[in-house]
Amino acid sequence: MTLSRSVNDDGTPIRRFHPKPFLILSIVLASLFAIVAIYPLLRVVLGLFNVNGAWTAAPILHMFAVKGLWQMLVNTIVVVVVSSVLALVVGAVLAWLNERTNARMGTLTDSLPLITYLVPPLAGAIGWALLLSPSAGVLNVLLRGGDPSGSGPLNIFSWPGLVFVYTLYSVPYAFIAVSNGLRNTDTSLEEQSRVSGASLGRTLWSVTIPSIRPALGGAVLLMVTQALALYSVPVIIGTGANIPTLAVEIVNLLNFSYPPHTSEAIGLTLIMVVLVVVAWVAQSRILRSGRHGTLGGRGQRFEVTTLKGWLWPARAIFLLYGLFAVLLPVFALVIVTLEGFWSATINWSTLSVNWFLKALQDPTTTKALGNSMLLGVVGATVGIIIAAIVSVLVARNRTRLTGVVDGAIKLPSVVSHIVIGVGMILAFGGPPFMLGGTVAILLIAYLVVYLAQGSVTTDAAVAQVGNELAEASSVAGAGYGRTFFRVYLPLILPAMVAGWAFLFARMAGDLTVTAILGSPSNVTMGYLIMQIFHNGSYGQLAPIAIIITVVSSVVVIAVIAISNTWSRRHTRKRPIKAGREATATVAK
Amino acid sequence: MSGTATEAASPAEVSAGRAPIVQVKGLSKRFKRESGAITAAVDDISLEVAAGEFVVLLGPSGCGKTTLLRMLAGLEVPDGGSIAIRGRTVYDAAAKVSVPTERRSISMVFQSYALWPHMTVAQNIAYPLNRSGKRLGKAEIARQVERVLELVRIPDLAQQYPNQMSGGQQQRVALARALVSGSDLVLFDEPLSNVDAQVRERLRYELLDIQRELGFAAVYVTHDQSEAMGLANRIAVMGAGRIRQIASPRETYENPVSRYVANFVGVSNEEPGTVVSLDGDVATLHTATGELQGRVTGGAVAVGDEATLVWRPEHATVSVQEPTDARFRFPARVEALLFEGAHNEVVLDVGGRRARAWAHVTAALDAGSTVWVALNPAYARVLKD
Repeated sequence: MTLSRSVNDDGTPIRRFHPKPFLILSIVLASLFAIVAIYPLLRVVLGLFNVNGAWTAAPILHMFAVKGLWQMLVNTIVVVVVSSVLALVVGAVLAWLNERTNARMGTLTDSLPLITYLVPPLAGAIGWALLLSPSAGVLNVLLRGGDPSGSGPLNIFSWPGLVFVYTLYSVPYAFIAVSNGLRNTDTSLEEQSRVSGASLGRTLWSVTIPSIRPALGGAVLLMVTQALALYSVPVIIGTGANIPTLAVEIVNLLNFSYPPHTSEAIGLTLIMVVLVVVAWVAQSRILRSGRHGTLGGRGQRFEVTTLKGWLWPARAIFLLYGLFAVLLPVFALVIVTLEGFWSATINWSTLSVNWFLKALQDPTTTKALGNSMLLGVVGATVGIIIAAIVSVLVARNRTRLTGVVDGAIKLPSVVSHIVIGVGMILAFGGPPFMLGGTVAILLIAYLVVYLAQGSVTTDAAVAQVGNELAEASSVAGAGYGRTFFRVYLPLILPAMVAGWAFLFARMAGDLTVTAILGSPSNVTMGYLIMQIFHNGSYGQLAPIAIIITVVSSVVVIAVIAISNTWSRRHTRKRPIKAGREATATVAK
Repeated sequence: MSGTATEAASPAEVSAGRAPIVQVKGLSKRFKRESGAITAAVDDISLEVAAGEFVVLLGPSGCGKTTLLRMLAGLEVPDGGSIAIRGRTVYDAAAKVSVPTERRSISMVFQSYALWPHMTVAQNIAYPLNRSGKRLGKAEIARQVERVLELVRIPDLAQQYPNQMSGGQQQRVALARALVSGSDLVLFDEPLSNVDAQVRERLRYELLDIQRELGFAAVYVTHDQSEAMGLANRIAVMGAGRIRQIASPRETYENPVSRYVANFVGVSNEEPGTVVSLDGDVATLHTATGELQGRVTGGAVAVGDEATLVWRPEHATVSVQEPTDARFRFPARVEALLFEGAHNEVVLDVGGRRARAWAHVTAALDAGSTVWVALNPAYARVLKD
């Protein structure tokens, strides 16, 4: 058969282009966002060698001239590494107990990471300062038997205190990563080991842990990048303990010195980039070394180990973690808020909500709360929609372009948020965008920083939908847009709701990005806390921390509850267990 | 291509005058293995499917049958060759034409059913009716859905959700969804492999009824040879990315063109040897068990060539006494006796090679004893490769 290049056998013209408006829209949107995500990072790298259009090594030289640089660097590395290792141990133990033993307590232990998201690290840090400051700490006074004078026995403003609070807020990352790893590992591997006569300990060591090594590697990378960028904990605890760290110094150079020392700040972000790259290389080593036995299919049953005498000690670990991460700090915040000031003794008779209401009526607080809510709602909504569009695009359209776009969107999640904040100033703060000090630049920065974490949820949901449901839609004559709206969207909606709640909590309670990009003109709750911390008292901090905790809890719990009720009413719509995959597609 | 020897008898010729529904020419698809080596999943395949014809792609896993089917559907992009559906080019590597799946006007039944779990049975089935550009009224859609549900014999399930139903019922819904648009080409990707044996049997007969009634052309992938035998007008036996033989089920079974086909379709026994004489298409082989004779159905052989005599279990006569009236006979030792109801299957040791033959249930055979096997040369085949 000879074909002319433009005509079919029957003489009808060959159509080379089949317009798919929604596909094109998806690609354009994803590409645009990828550029927004990558451009600030490029500006940071460029900013190291180019100041005001002239090539120079000044930022790097300035960086080396920063006072106490090496001490800061050592402090940062020590606190990040030690807390990440501790958090990995705690998170992995909790995850294993929850996934593989009868210590699991249903929703209570399943939702452990979610609960800790509701208390932003900054509220936790303030809470612990209130609990364990040496003289007036509420818990210290109790430990002294109610003696309001004196000092100790514990001191949060110390190395152990700093590491302790860092660890508390790194645990959820390890818990989630290890839980996912365990869920994707076939327990028959472990059963085989037990059948072969290995003890529980040996099975854990030689089968379970090697098979979840990629998950462990991912957890370490995530914790290290998060801990590096964490600003709230080091500024509150570290400053009190006189332990300077990189994140605090960068924010100080940019936001609390006049004129701002931008070039030193950029120089210091370079160190952060280097540290992240080191963590990155370490992680890919872990991934590459050896085979790991993941994936035995979804929805499989797991063998549950019965802990007899150890059941309640195991559950006590969960309860202790909940006590330390949530209950105690929130308790301290509530007490101080109701008292109106921070005192060593609790005078129960004078507790009143007046102070709380007064804080709420303050116009700056109202404005900050309004901005934070606006950013949370708009940011989470836009973010989860982009995440869903990109997840489906990457799943359905595996080309080099979509691969690059996907990578670009996910890159910021493994780069310290401080670095991205600095990049945002360089990229959008000045001409031609002139977004410095606006709510818009915060929105863009939040999206860039948190979107990848939201797309983890949508990626997983899209993967669960599988290929055949979409292929069946194409065969039935539906184009890309119809397949997206009729097949994917209804099926990934519950995951999108969960992702939305997560993004909302993160964005509304953000302090890290805000510390760099915040200003009196785009004041948010995070910015307010930072200002009060530098200029005000703990008594004023507590109500703000409570407000942000309560508001995000209410919104997140409400959304999750509504989504659960909705999906319970539609349980029959849960995806069918997929049959075994078509054998020949394995040839890929 | 090796199929040429038998293509003369294909129904594609019988239904001459009508343009083929599917016309595949020189189609190839290569995959890169993890080791870096490149293998051809589909290797230069040409195939025509006539209107109303039922073609089964049969082969072991990894032979490229599903890849070929998915390329017809446009779910997989080939590396070379061309595909035309109803005379319209939907893929042509040279002309850089690739029509997306949704514009090929085909239907497909997936191995995993691929029913949308968030839609009712009626919504699932109505989905292909809303093809872009085609607007049907609500009443018309309901009528069509009802009609096709009757056809697949589940008229009461319209408002159910897919995971409230059994595997067999889900498969019927998948079939209904494929049939509702009235497409004249339906692709099947191992549709019955996930339902249990009894349901599979029943669904197979019903599918055949429906296909004969509606008259669509079907391309059906399976690795189950009895399914292929029962459904196909023509079976395309595939191996290593190529069609090894394409012919009617009977032709494939009786006159295989290669040992590969003979072994994949039905059970076959082999005696390797050397051709000592040739009379038309009847060849006499010298083998380890003596002189044996059969018809040449594969590539041509010459005296002196190495060739293999292939025989089916049901074409041998097994007896305790030496059958002196049979010219082609040899002794064998009984290794095992398997009772299969209508007959005994005898596992034999023929000079160190294992063979299987059927014997009458009343024959007094014992494991370990020596018996005689007589072959009828009319049914034995001589194959060169």
